[in-house]
Amino acid sequence: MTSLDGYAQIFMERNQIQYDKDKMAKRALNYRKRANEIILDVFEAKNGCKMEDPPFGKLIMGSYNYKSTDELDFDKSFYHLDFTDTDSIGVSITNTKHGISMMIIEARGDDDKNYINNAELQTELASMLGVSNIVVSDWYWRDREHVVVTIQNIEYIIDPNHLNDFDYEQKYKEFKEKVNEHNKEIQLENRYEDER
Amino acid sequence: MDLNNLVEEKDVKDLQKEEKKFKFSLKRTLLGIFSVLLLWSTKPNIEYAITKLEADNNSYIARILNDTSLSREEQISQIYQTALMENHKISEDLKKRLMDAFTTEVIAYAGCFFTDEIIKNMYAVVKTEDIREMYKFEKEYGWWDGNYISFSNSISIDSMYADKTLLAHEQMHAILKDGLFGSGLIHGIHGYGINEGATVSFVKSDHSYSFQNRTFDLLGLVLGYKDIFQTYTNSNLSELMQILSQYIPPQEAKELILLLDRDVFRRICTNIYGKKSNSI
Repeated sequence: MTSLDGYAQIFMERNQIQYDKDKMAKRALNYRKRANEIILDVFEAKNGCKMEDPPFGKLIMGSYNYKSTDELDFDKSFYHLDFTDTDSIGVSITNTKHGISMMIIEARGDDDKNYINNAELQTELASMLGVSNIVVSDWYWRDREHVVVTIQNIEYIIDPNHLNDFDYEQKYKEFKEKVNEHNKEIQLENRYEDER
Repeated sequence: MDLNNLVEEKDVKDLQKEEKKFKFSLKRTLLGIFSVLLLWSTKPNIEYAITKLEADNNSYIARILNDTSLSREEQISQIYQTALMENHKISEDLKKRLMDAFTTEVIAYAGCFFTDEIIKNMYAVVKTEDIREMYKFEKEYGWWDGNYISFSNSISIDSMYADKTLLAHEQMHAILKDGLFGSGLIHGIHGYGINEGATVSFVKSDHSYSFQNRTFDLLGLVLGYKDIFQTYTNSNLSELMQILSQYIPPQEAKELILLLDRDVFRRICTNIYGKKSNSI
């Protein structure tokens, strides 16, 4: 085998790998989309209302890997990330060793007090957060390395040691910037892939 | 019939007898070896089962669990430490690391979800478990850095990457060992994904299995953490399916569990393929 043949083989094999990676990434995306659809079905069945209908708002979940590693290259894409035209939005970000994983809950409708009006859910959340009552609850990703962001004037009670001095507006701004940066990175990488 | 023929016939008979004897002794030896091997391989589980019985009737454990001056976390911590000290298979260094990992990552974080039964099971597992280095094949082709093997009651780790999160994660798998909870999340391939996702939820700094963990967390968020966590600590997948089936068709509930499993295997396949491609 000449060195040229060797290069050709490597090139072909690499192309094959790329193909497989794409296939795997698509597959992963489909798994996640479908899983989220099922969870939405559970939510809707439990709360007796469609997610799109106020006052429950629309639940959008996204997986977002800010710093992807080789292992999670395939998970880089996220399937729904839309901050436009929202009345209020709750964002839960979990720092993972591979980057940031987050959940976004977007509430539509003017009456934020009705953001979550299911009494049972409120009780569960209150119990989870260790508080007596939730006036207007936010969505919360358990007590781990994360932030819960709520835009607009929503009063809610969370462990003060955890988020007492938290600047929601600033955090949201920073987060949005990170998202934009990441979107740019993806665009650049896509362009690079296309050129290659 | 002459004398020669008679002698020959006797020789043949003797030979046949010898052959029969040999076959019998061979069978007996093989059976013996097989029995010893079987006994040897089930030894860890026998040890565990005996210790579990002992734990159920252990006055020290009962005293700690009934001591109202101790918090739940303190109770678990004391029993865990005792079990670890009584373990003769694990090195002192590893014991220290395990103690630190499990206390900070699991007990302080999720100890409140531990029932008495889990604590007793934890005692039995920890007292008899073993920790070994991962096989070379696993290191080369596996994307995991550690695992717990229920059959041999042993945790295998890649010591290069065995940080406290990994140790706590595997220890968490171990303490929910089967035998106590019956079949469910821990068993077999079905439910593998949700089991991993749930385990991550119980280990403070663990961020592995992000999709599986997020799904488990979402289920907790929507359906109530208490019930969902209980299905995990009970290792009862069918209980989880029943809860889900109250809201969606059972087929859809099954599909959700399967999606999480598939995603794990996708990662395994991708990783094996990726590692092969690196060696081009």
